[in-house]
Amino acid sequence: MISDAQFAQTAIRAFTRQDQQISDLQTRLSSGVNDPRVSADPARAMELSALRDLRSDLSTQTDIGRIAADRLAMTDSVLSEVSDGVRELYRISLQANNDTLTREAHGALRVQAETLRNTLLAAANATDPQGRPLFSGNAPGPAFVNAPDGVRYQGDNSATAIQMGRNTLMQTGLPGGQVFGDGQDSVFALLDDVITGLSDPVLGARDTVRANQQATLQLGIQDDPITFDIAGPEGRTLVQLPLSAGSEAAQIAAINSVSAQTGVQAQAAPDGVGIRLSAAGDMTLSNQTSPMGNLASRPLVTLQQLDSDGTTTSDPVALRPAHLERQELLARSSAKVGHMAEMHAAVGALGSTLDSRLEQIAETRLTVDQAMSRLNDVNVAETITRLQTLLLTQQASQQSFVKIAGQSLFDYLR
Amino acid sequence: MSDMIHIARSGIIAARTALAVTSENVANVGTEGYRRRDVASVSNAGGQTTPTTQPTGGQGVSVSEVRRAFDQLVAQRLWTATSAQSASAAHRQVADSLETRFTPGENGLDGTMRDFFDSLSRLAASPADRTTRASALHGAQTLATEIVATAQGAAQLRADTVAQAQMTTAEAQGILQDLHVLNERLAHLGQSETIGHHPLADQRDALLQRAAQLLPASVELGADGRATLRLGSEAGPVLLDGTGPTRLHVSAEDQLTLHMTAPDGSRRDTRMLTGGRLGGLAMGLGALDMAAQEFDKLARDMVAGLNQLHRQGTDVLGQPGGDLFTMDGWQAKPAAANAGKVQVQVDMARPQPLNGPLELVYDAGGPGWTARDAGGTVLATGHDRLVLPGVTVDLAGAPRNGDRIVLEQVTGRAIDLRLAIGDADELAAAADVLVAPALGNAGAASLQLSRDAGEPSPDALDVVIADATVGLVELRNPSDDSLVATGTLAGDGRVTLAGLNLQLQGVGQTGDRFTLRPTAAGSGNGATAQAMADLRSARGDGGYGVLDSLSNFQADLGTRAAAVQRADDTAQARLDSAAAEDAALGAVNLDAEAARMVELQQAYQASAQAMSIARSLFDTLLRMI
Repeated sequence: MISDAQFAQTAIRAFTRQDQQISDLQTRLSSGVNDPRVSADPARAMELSALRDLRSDLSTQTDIGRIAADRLAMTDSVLSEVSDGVRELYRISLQANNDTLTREAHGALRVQAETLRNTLLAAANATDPQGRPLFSGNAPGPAFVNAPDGVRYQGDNSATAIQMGRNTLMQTGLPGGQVFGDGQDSVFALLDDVITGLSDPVLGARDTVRANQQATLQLGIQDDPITFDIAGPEGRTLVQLPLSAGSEAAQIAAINSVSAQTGVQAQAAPDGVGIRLSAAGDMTLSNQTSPMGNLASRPLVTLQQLDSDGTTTSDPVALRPAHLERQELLARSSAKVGHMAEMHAAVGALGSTLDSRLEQIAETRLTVDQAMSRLNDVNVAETITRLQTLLLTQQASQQSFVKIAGQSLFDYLR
Repeated sequence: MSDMIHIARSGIIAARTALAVTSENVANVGTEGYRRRDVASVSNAGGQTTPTTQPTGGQGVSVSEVRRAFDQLVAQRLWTATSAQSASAAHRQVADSLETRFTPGENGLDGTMRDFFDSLSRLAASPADRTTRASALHGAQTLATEIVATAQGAAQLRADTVAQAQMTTAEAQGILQDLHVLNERLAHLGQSETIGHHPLADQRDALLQRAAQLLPASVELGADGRATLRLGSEAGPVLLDGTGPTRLHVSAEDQLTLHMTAPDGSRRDTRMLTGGRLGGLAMGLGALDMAAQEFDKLARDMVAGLNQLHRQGTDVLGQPGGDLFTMDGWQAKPAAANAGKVQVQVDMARPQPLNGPLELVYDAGGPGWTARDAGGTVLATGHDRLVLPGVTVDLAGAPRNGDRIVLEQVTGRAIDLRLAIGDADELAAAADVLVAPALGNAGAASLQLSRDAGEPSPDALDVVIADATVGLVELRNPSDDSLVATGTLAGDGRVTLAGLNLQLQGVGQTGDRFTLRPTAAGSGNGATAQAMADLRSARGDGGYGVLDSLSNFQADLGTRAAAVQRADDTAQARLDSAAAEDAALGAVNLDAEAARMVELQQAYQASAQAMSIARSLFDTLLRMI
C-alpha cells in the first residue's frame, strides 16, 4: 500500500526530473551544441577532443603553409629575374667573344655587365614578405655582401624548411650557395670575370699568343707558379714556371726541360728584359692557369714577335688566364643558364609539393569539420522530437496526478 | 437487558475510540514523521452478572491499546538508504562542479593550450618576425593565466565544499541537541507504549531521518524509546546517549576530519565518514584533492618539458634561453591557536631569493602585522598589506593580538604558474646548435640532436654516416675532418657520441653528412620552438604529449563524474524502495482510512441499535408490569 504522502513525493520527484530534462533539451537547442561534458557521453567527448586537436594542427599547418607558399612564390619570381639576368650575361659573353667589336662597344658591354651585377646582387639579397632573406638559409642578415675580393656568400647554406605535421618537413627555399654558387663557382665570380675580361689589361689579351721563330716572353711576378701550354714545331706540352722575383733562370730551365717535346728553346734576353724564345717554326702559348688556385685577374704572360736579328716587329700580346678566356667565359655563362633553369625548376617543384600538401590539408580539414559537426552540433529534429515526447509525458503525468490525487473515498462517504 | 446495554455501550465506546484514532490518522496524513495509529481491542470476559440472568460468553469489547505502526528494522533500513543517498547526492554535486570546470571545448583550458602550441608552431616557421614572437608570448601568458584561474577555481570549490561541510556539521549538532531534549522527555514519561509516547516518537523519528541525511549514524532505541546514536556502525563513537550530545566540528587540512568532543571532555577524531551529506562531501573533497594533485602534476610535466627545451635554445640576441615558466609560490599556514580569522593572499611578481619560511605576527596595539624571515630580520610591517622583495601579502579579516601565520615557499603548484620572461625577444625559438644536412646528401634522412640538461652546447661538428648498412656514424671536426668519436646507431636510430644524443630519422646513405653549427644571434632557425610545439602530442618514445595528458585528465574526471551519477541514481532507487517499504508499514493512506471509517461507523451504528433494542425490551417488560 502506498501512502498519500509518498505518492505525492514520488510524483513531485518525477515532475522535477522531467523539468530538468526539458530544460536541458531547451538549453541544447538554444546553444546548438550537444552537452560538452565528458560524463554526458564519454566516447563522443574524447573523439571531439581528438578532432579539435587535429583541426587546430591542420589550421596552423595551413597558415604556416601559406606563408611558406608566399616565400616560395617570391623565390620563384626572383629566380625568374635571375634566370633572365644570367641569359643576359650569356649574351654579353657571346658578344664579347666577337673580335671585331670596337673598344667603345666593349665598354658598353662592360657597363651592361656591371649593371647586371648590381641587379643580380639585389636579387640574391631579396627578402620574403616577412623580411627574411630568401637565400641566406637560417643565418641573419643579407645572403651576399660586396667584399674587396668580390661578392661573398655569408649565409649558412642551410635549406629553410617548415614542419607541416609530425616528421613532415617541407623545404621552403634553396640555399644561396646552391643557387648562386660559392667562391669561384658563383655567378658573381663569373660576372666579375666577364667584367675583367671587358676591361684593360685583359680586354686586349688573347686566349692564345703566337710568334714565329723568335719572340720575347715576359712574365709577371707573384708568389705562386703558373702553368701554360707551350707548343712548337715538335709538339705541345704543359709547362710550370715559378713567378717569384729572381726566378728567371728557373723559368728558362723549365722551358728548356720540355724543348725536346716542343722544339722551343729559351735563353735570357740579351737586353735583360724577359726571356728569348726561339724555334724552327711557330710557337704558341695558351691555357695559362694557376696550380695553387690563385686565379689572376690580369695577364701574367706576354709574347712579343721578334725578327731574325732580334728586333721587335709588333706590340707584345698578352695571354689571357684560362679562366678569363672568352670561350671559357662563354662556356661558364652557358652552364649558369642551365643551372639557373634547374634551380628555377627545383623551386617550382617545391612550390608544387607544398601546394599538394596544402590541398591534402584542406581536404582533411573538411573531413574533420564534418565529423566535428556531426558530433558537436545538436540534431535539431531528433532533439525537438524528444522534447515533444517529454512535454507530452509531462502533461500526461501531471493530468494523471491531478486525477488520482483528487479522488478519495471520502468523497463518497455520507 | 442491562447486560445488553452494557455490552452495546462497550461496543459504542470502542467504535468511537477507533473512529477518533482514524480521524487522527486522517488529520496527520501530511505530518512529517507521523506513523499511522490503529487500535487493538479485546473482548471483555463474561460471567453471571445478576442472579436472575444466565451466564454469557463475554461482556462486550474494550480497547486494549492504541498502537503506532513502527518497525525498527524497516526504519533502520530507511535511515541507511537515506544516508547513502544523501552521500551520493553530495558527492555528485561536487563531482559535477569539478567536471564543469574542466569541460573540454574551444573556450576551455584545452582550447587555450592548443592556441599556445599553435603559436609555437608559427614561431618555429617565422622566428625572427616580431608579430609572431609577440603572439607566442601572448599565447604563453594566456595559458599561464588560464591554468592559474582553473587552479584557483578548483581551490575555491574546495573552500566551498569545506564550508558546506562545516554548515552540515552545525546543522547535525542542532539535531543532536534536539534529540537529546526529546530523549529527556521520553525518559520522563517512563513507559514506551503509552499514548503520550507516540507524538514524541514521531518527532524522534523525524529527527533521526534528518540526522541520517547529514551523518552516517547507527541508531539504537531503548525500551523507553530513547535514541542512542553512534557514528557509522554499532561500534562507532557515540554521538548521542543518555549523557548528552557530542560536540562536533570539522576541519580539512588534507582530508575532511570530524572532531568529536564527548560530554565528559574526551576527544576523538575520525576521517571515516561513509554516509550522509558529510560523507558525500568528504568523498567529494577527496576527489577534489586528487584532481588538484593530478592537475599540478600535469602542469609540472608541461613546464619541465618546455623549460628543458627553452634552456637549450637561443633568443634573438643569441643568448641562451632560461626558464620559460616558473611554479614557485608561497603557501600561508595560519597557526592552529589563532583566535582571529584572517584571509591571506600572496602575489609573487618575480621569484626572489628570500630566507624563508617567513613568519607574520599580529600586534594589535602596534604596527599590525610584522613579517620576519627565517633569520629574524624584519622585512615589512603593515595592517592590510605587506610589501616584501618580490612578494606582496594582502591580509583581510579580523586578526587578534598574537595571531601567527607562516609563509612557506612551495613549488610545483599549478596555482603558482607564471611566465618567467617578459619580452618577446627573450623567447628562445632558435636551437643553439643548428643541425642541417649537407648539400649533396644522397639519402633522405634527417638528424635530431638533444642534450642532457646542463650539457653545454657543442662547437661546430659534422656527423658522417660512415657505413649505412651497419649504422656506423662518425663525429668529425669540420676544420680538418679529424675523427672525434664514432658509434653505431641503435634500432631506433639513436646513438650518443661525445655527450651528444643523436637520432637519425629516415633512410641515410653512406657518406651522408650533417653539419652541427652554433647558432648566431638573430638566426632564422626555429628548431627549439618547433621542439616545444611538438610537446603537444604523443611522442615517438611512447610518452604522452601535453594535450594528450590534459585530454586524459578531463576524460578521467568525466568518467568519475559519470560513475558518481550512476551511483547516485542507484542510491536514489534504493531509497525509493526503502521508503516504499516503510510507507507501506506506517504511512497514512486516505482511502484505507476512509474504508476503516465506514467500517467503524457501521460498528457504532450496530452497537447503538443493539442498545436501542435493549431499551425497547426493557420498556416492553415495564408495560407488562
